[in-house]
Amino acid sequence: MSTATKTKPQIAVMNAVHDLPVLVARDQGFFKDEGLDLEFVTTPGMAQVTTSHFVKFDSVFDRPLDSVFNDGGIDQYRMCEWGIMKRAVEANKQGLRDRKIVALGASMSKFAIVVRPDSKIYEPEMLKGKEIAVTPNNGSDFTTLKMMEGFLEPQHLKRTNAGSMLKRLEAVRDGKVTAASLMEPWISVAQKWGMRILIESHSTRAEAAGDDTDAETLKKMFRAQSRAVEVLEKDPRPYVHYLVRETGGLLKPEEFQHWRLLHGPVTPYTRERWDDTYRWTVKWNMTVPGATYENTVDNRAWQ
Amino acid sequence: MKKVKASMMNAIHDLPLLVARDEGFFNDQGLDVEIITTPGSGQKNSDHQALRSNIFERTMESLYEQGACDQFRMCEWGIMKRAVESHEKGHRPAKIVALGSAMSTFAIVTDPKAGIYEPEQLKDKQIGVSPYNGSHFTTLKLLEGFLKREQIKTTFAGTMRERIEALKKGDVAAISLMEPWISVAEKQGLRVLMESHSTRSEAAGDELDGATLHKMFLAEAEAARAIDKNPAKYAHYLVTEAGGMLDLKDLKLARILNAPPEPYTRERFQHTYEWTRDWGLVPAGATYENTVDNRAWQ
Repeated sequence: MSTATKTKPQIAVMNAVHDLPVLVARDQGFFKDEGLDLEFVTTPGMAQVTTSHFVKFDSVFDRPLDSVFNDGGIDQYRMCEWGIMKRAVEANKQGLRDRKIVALGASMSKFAIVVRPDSKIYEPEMLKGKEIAVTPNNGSDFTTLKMMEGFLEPQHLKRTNAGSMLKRLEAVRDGKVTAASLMEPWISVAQKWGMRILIESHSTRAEAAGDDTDAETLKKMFRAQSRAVEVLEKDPRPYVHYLVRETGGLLKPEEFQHWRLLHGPVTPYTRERWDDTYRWTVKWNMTVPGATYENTVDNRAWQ
Repeated sequence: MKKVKASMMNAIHDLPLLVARDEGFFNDQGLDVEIITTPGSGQKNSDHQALRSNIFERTMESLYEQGACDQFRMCEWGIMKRAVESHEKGHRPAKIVALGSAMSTFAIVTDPKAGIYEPEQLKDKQIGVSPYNGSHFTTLKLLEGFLKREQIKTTFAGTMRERIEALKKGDVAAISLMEPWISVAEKQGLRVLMESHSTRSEAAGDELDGATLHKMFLAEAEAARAIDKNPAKYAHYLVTEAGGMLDLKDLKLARILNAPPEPYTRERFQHTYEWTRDWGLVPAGATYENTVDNRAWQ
């Protein structure tokens, strides 16, 4: 949909583990309570069993969600904090549709590095020089670097692209790669398959928006998401069907490890956080130098 | 039967030793292994003898110094520190004789009330550990990708039970725990931010010959396989350490992971020694030759 014809704010939904507060806020009517009438735009993500596209290592803007945003079909979305940082910085540099970091997001999604059940790899240091399957420049990639950095020197940390979460899990099972970085529901699938989890950690999302989504709308969106967080923190089980469905029958609801779900209220993206995260992302050559807090972050929802 | 005195401290690190004894795997190798139990931070009612600031005054290290035991295991970096410094400081020599069996999980845990959801939010916040033990070294490794070194703050907060109490009182922002205390923390509604398996090393005095060590490690490898097949059978050792604070059903058995002992390679020594030295946790000047002895495989 072009920006000229759209009538209501368009909010993206991709992988359920990252977007669960949005889905719950929609289901519970929290967006409507805020007076928002939103259009939810679903794009394929690496967690969905039906996803068939293969992302390139060196490009992010031709991926489904990014393409739709560039064309004006999405106004607001969330991804891992470092993925949003890369996109906000590089869209600006490449003259693509501008997007800014507008909040630290709600989903504190877990990522885990797994190996085969019969692997001789028992702990992170044993992954020295071995390939770990990730989605390049997405959460599984960035979080792998963060989790492994204390255990291995950068030159010994090898990531590779093996496709969607299911494809990389199959690649581990079939011995095509040594390890894979996964999020839920695929960590639960890996456990069901008897895979060994070496290391796991919660990680952050960030919220991005185009300049045409006004502060008041963002504020209402984030208030609705934060209400959804309260619901999820009390008991996420009524909503795990969103994650289970992504596995296309590989996981039953009772097999999903719901204790891994963690959500916090949406908060402003601070200058300190910007400094730390941007410096780290540039250090790993995951984004370009030269960006500033002022041209990348906009906490207008709180102003 | 050849008599050997080995020490044990915390069950999660010493489970293959206990199982090798219980299942007769040491006896099968012609060994009569006496296990000397010393207090550790994982035992509910432990005092601070095992946590003195001078590592060579701690209970297990003192007993080893006096000759009461000849073989022990700890986290890989803890053994590195003791092997290097016993040599440097004129204590009873203890060399690294293997990469050990127990791939114990350590976790960094917070109280949900504190509003900390992920590792970066621990910037400049105090994390309770046992200095120079597994919880200390593993905390550094876990957080190094998320925080700059100078932003990682560790502090002594007592035994595992005491540091859970310190966390709940708000005396520290986070704590590092191993099993069974990760499961205790989960049962109490505390939040696990991140967790990872980690390595042990085996250390021994020069008096223990290569053939005996070889047999000990064969027995431990057999025990590792037995635990892997049926961890619930041996989990009572962990539940007992929690002193009534945990039932077997609440212990996450998937966190128990053990492997056969292996030679401690030169590559591994270089990587681990350099990392430990880089953090200022051991003095410079040690070599593979004066710190490691893979005689069990020679």
